Amino acid sequence: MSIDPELRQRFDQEAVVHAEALYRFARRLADSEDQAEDLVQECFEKALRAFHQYKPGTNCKSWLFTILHNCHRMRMRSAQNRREILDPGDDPKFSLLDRLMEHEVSSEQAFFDATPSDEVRQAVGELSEALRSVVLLSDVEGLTYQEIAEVLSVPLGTVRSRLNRARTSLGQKLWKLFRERVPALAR
Amino acid sequence: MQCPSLDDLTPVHLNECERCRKLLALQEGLRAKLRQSEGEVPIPQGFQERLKARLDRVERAPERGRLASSGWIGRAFRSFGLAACLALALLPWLTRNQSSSFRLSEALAEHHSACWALPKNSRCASDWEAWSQAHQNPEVPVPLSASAGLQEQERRICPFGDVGKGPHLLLHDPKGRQASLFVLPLAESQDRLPKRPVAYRIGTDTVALWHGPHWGFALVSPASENETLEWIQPALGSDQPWLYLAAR
Repeated sequence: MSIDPELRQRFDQEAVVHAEALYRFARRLADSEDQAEDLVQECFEKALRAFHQYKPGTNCKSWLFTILHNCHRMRMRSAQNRREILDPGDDPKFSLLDRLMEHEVSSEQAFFDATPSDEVRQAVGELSEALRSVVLLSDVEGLTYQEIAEVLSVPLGTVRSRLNRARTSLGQKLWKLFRERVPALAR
Repeated sequence: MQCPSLDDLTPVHLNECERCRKLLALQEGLRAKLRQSEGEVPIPQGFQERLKARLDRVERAPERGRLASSGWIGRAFRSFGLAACLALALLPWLTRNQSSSFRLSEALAEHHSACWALPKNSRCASDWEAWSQAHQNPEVPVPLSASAGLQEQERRICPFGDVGKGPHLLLHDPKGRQASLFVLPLAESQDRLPKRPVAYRIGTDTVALWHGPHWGFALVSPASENETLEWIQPALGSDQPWLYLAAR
């Protein structure tokens, strides 16, 4: 297969600039750095081969995430390594706002300021893959609900409900970590 | 007061409802914290260079035939090509008593790239689990018969022989049954597609093949041959048949 140099240049400008964002997402899907990097490379190779079909003006980042997610899904399928969609230990009625108010935490800003980044990553890592993917694509990568639905091949309503569950679950996990770390503030 | 979901909040409601304002602030705070913490995930040293090197290898891969240009390598490739052509020519005779088949679900599971430009009320079949659930018999045997327009290629099966090219749409027929539409540039169809549609019954499904001005199509439908042909009638001559098929 021969790649037109102009096409390759456009690919570098429009697609390769998203490589680090894709790696960070892949790192949250794969078990190791090596697997994540391999996944990203496979994704970009497929994207380059198909780039002549890419429509300029559409969301290249979202297109790349679609390819990456499908590469990952194929690997998971072959590894028979699918995870559950639900987090069975979560309370669906949990409200972080109610907890903050009950325990007189002064503001949400104070709560997040007191929460280290590694605890947030830990909480995200404890989410099931389906919820983790939705929350990362929405809140970190800034994709629209419609784009996420296309990336994950799920209906729009599923994106909304998963995002809602993911945020509830994240709030619960962060609150639990917060209580362990600052027992005086959150009795 | 009944509060809408955070996605549907209006400025008027936000002015009146302190709880929603706090919930919104909390959500924004969580987003900002997520962006900050995920942005700190380290990128491995040399990541960009290794990626570039891999993409360069794709770029340098030779065109078909260019490798077999000269020298003993060229002769070896030409010999191999001749043997392959001979084998291909004899294939119908060699396999005349065999009814080889593969699972269509394998093809759907493999087909996952380049599906970003789909029309509304259709979607890519990369969600093969949903497709399998929607089909009572997802492992539809697909006879590999050149006369039916089916071809094996690297163990990936679709009515065009290459599931990696062109989108594959899921549509509903007039009776609400799910059907799959494969799309292929006409230039790549190798004259296998008729302009007027033809339909073949394969297992429990019907495969209808036809082409428009620039694109070829194969519709895999659970309906009968006549029902399928009737369904696609308004779409004939169009390069966007899904506009007619999905509108029904």
